[in-house]
Amino acid sequence: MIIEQSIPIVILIEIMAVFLVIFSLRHLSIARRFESDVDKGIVTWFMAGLILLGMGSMANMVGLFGLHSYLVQGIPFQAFWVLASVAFLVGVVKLRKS
Amino acid sequence: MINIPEYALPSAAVLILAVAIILFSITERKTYYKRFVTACLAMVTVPLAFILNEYLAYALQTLVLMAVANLSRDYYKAGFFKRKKDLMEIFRHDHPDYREHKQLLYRPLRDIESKERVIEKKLAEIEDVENKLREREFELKEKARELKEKEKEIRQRGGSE
Repeated sequence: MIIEQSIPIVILIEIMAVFLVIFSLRHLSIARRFESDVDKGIVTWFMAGLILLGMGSMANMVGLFGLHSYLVQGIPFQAFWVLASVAFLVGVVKLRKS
Repeated sequence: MINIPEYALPSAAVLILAVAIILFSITERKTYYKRFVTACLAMVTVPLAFILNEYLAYALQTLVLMAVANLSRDYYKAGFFKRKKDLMEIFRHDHPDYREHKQLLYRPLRDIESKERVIEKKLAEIEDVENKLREREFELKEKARELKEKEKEIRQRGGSE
């Protein structure tokens, strides 16, 4: 209970989420070099989706800490889920077209 | 704060991801990053769980992102080893001409990339020279044709005289 009050579990989860996104992006940015130009474009959309998910986690953290941010002030963090979904959808559509 | 109903955004995300999953399921193309794409689309569970319980959504988000991170590493390794295998195939025989190039395998990726750029530059130069030679060949052929015509004319004149 004391731990939960001092460091909320949600904050730890969101910090971990941001690190996992950075870890994934690092590997994807190297892996996409070996792909063709078409596949590079597809992977880029999925990377954009992951970046948006990371931004969503950061926006949630800003809200949880009660901080002020010009970038995400007034934007609910779930909006980034929608944008990430759109990026993934574009990636899938490009994959189908290729 | 923009006034949006609490479950509107997660529901929209679920809908968009559901469409993406349906489109992906009917994609015929099989690529080795398919597992990674599937993991990204598994994000549908997060907004879906958020509608039921916030903490469940956080737990699922962690699990999905861990899967994405793991698969992105697999994808990275697959690409790296594919490249290494290709290079090994080229330099499989220990030919003295290729001995220096074989060393590239043991150098960092940036060295290989700089070598690639040098090779690309050289190839462009070779192409340029080839184009010039082709033009010269065409000019010489034209001259040869003109000379033949002149020769023919002279012969015809000689015959008529």
